Amino acid sequence: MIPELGNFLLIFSMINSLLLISIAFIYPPKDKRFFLSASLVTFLAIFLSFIALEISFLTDDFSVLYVATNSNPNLPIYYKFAALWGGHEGSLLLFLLILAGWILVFVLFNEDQKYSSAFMNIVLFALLAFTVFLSNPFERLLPISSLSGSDLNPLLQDFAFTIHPPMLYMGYAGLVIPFGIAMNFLLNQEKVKQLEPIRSWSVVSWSFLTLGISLGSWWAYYELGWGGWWFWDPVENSALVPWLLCTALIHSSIATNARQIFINWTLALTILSLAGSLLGMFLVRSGIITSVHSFALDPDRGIFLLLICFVIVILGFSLFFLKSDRRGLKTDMGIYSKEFMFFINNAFLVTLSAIVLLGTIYPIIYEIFSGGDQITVGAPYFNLVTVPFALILLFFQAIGPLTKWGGNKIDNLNSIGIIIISSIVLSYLVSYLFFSFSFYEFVGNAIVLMLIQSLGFLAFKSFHSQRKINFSMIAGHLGLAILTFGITISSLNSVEKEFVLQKNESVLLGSSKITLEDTQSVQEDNYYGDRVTFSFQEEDRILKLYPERRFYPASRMETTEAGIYPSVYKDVYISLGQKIGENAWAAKVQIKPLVRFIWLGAIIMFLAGLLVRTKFKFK
Amino acid sequence: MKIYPLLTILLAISLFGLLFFQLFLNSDAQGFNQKSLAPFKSKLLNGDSFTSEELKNDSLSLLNVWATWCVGCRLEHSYLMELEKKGISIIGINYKDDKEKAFKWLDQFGDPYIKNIFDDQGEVGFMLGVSGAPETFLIKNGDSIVMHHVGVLDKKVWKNKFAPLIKK
Repeated sequence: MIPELGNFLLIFSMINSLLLISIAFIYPPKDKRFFLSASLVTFLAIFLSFIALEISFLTDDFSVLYVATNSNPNLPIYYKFAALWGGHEGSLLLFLLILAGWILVFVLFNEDQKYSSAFMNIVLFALLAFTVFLSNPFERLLPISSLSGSDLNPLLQDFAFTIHPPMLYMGYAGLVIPFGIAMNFLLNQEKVKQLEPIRSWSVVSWSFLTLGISLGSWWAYYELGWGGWWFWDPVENSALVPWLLCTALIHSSIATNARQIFINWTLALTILSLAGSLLGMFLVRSGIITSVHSFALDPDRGIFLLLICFVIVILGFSLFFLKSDRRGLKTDMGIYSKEFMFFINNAFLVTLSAIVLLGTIYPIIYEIFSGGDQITVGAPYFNLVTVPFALILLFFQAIGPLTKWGGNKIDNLNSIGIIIISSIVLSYLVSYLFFSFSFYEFVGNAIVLMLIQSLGFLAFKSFHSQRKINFSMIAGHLGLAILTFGITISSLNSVEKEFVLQKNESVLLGSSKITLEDTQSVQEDNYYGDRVTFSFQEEDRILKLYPERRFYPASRMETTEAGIYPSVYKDVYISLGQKIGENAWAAKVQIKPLVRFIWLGAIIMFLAGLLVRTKFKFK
Repeated sequence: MKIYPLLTILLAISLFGLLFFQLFLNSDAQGFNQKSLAPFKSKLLNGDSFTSEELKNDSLSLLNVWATWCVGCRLEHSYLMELEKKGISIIGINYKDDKEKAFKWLDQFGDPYIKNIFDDQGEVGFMLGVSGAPETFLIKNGDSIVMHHVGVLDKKVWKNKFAPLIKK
């Protein structure tokens, strides 16, 4: 009964959303209350439908097909709750809930309604229809069988996973809002001021995308047992592309708000970033690309998702080319102006996203033109082509904040000079003294030092001249500096060793000694397996690590749990390979200096983004 | 100035066109590379022994990997029954399962298999390259795998992947 109710509410919200679109275009209501009540009803219906599915999960109602394929009676209750978004249909429902929520928040806080929420509802309606007709989570598995349920994928039975999709979806869905604002502006162009909310909304989406992506990276780091934090996996890339485009959108809309320039560019970016996020959804859910994340393979679903994405892009760009004011295309800017810095920022970010997208879909293109041969595009391509672009971008990121709008000579010339020179000297010393000196290490550190000095200079100047300080911007950029530092040091200075050890045997890695101390078996409700105790002795310090290999009987899957000793300076990371004999294991140890800085930086970026509307003033 | 709209639309159409094309290509029966089948020995659910030599009696045989713990198997079961009614003989591989539960399942939902290999340790599955259940194999002359489908076998999959090969 409850699943049927949930299904009914989902269909109801779909019809409601369609009504809002029709009324908004045919007979545009003057009153904001219409949009408010319609959005509230849609949101509540989806929310109750979400609750209905949660009830099916928590009561182990395996007559619901989706529950039967994604849950298990032995699953701890917390994971039963989170298992709702462990598969394709449920995660789509979560996405809808978040999207409807964002639209409601937008309608609540923005006065200018005319067509914006209607355009957002077009996306919502399309995805609702997709869920109801092609991915219905309430489908029944009848007659009720003796099944005890399959299981939530063991790799996903994990804390970071349970919050990774909701955060990511907050970001993806948030990109619908700037799109709606831009489309509304194109249809009834009154004043550029209408575009102002784009900035805050894109920053909020960006924050959640940042958090979602970094949670995924953190999860991959300790759960997949490879010790890497970024794999250039197609699914990671399809989150990175909207992130890069959204970053470009933020900066472009700042320029639009401040100087009324880059208007068309901002409008185009709202379409592109939404298209990027929908295309990512298509790549992940259609099964066109195989990846660690892939959902159920079904070409029909893919075609529908691709159609949604195609229609949004064509709709967006048709309006854009028919309605946009071409006079805004030319912007006069001096090479030392802030305008030019924003131009560089956007050019590089959009190029980077194009490079990542190309690398991600290249295997598909290759397969078509080679008549079925398959290739993979891996980390070497991505590292080779993205790192130089990213470094140049970061260099300009250090200079940009010190320039002025409309500037035609280098302001702060002395400061910029001092910052560049001191960074080069310092970086040379740091790289030489503390790390194995290499070119990338030197460049990476120099850029990080430049960034930090430039932000410090900016904060100092605001303080000195008693102006308001843009805390959100400084903290966000600082987060990126910390992240860059973590990437530079951990990528270039990690060491690793593979070995086979008997009980009480030791192996040396540099001056550290690794000993296999004990093996024992573990048994929990939803899995059983082996836990091995290693000691890691380094000078006088002895650390204990407990990597595991687990077997999840319900889904017949084996997983490895890395044993990690985290610290600010470095992580010691041991992952188990195969059991070789009684009390003997193959394992791999890795030492990763400053790897925590990567996620620390990302968290700072996330928090900074949430503070987008705040400015502090020193008294 | 008219060139930008044209370029953008062209770019969008070619990108989406490629993806559409690939989706249709994906659902085709072609593109599966034939593999050879290594000979194996196992036991049946009813206790008899089984060798892959027996597969050589038929030009084509269908192997279906199933288990009572697998929801997808429950889903495709009714279609397997349909295939059986059409006169297609299916050999089951009861994969990493419990004998009692397996018999109960066949009693409750019907038995579409002419024989059922009891692969409780997953050895036959390992040899075939099974990663889970359900999976279905088409074996030619008892020595080569001409199709390996991972996931639920339904009417559409049958029409796209298996029927063309059987007609040949």
